[in-house]
Amino acid sequence: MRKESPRIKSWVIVVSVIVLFIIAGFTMDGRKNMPAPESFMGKVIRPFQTVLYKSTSAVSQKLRPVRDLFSLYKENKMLKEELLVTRKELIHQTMLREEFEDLKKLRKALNYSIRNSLSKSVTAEVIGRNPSNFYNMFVINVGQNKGIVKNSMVYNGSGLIGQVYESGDDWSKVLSISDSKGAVSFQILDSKRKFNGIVKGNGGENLEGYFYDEKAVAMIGDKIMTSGVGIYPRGVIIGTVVDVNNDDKTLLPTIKVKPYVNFNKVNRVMVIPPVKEFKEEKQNEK
Amino acid sequence: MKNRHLIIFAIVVVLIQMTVLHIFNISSVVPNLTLVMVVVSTLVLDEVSAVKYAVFSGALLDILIGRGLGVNILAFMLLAYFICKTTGSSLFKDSVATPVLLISGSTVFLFMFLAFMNYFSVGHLKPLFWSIKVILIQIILNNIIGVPIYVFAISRRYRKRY
Repeated sequence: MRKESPRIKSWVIVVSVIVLFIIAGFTMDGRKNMPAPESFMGKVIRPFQTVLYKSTSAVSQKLRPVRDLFSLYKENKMLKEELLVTRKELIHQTMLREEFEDLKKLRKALNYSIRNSLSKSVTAEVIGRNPSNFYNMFVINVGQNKGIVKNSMVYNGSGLIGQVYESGDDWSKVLSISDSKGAVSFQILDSKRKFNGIVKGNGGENLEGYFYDEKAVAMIGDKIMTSGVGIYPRGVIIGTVVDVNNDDKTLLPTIKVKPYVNFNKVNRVMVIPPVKEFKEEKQNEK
Repeated sequence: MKNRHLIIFAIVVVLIQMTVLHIFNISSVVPNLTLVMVVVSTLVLDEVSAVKYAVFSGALLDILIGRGLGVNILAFMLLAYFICKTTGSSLFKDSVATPVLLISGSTVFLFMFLAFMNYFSVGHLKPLFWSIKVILIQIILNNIIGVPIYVFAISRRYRKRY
């Protein structure tokens, strides 16, 4: 049997380390198109992954009431407090709705059309998760065959989750907003204070951001949503403001935001291609 | 050990990691079976097979759920190589302290390596308190699954030998 000398082994390791560092450096930002062998590998493994993930999730769902037994009291108290706030909001929303219906009629009368990109969303299921605890990343079962490309927005009923990092033929990797490199343009969800800003993950549990306007007023408990500027369409809820400060250098108000989505409990998501893709699509149609 | 056996084994481990282990999370921290198996393989396989297994596992993780191709391959390959080089035959493989120390050390190494790569990619480090919490929980979780696997693997190896 052939036996390599320790010196050759060491050289192989050194060369491999250098090559891998270079490859990692080029691929750490995510690639627009996943190479065919990688896409194929994901395609082959996907059926096994789907079956295993679904079975595990089903068992986990059955056991959840037992696991959540101790947190029920706390959750109940929190829900009661939320109910009080929601009642007040409901009255306010009812008034706004009437106003909105009037505006809709006006829009129809003026023959004004708007693009509703959220209606183009594709439903997907989570079929795998990253084990490193370092990146909040997971795999979904849709890819380029459903029009999903890099930077497509991912959300669910609770709010914004993140963006597609890389996509294969029929699977994609999703990176959460708490880890995302890309910033999200936001707007306060209040008709009287329509202040815009930018929010992005800082690696921790909360997001950090700032307003464009130094006169912007934000309060703890304010809800923020995507403003429609950039790759994310308007109107997807992001989270609640948990801290407000002022940056001494820029004099701009800064905020910390707790995302609504619990990334560990996400099982089904909606994906929509980035706004740019829609623009291109619309141009092609013309 | 043959390459195809190593690849099949790596696929099974990575699949379990991605689909099953997330339900055993504590404060969102998941045990890292892939890392544990790389450490155990360095103790029960020969050096070349252990490094190959580490490379296969890393490659699968990078392709299927990694942030950049090469990150996990590099981390696992270096880990397997250094464990093989530093421990060699002088290690007390019967002692439970061996897997505990190696798994704990490897968990810290992997976390720091990913922090380093993340810093170059994103430009910020994770908060210190969060990092310490995650490392401590993951050391416990990895040892809970790692020590029984190690004991089982070592006992099988001795049974085959004698």
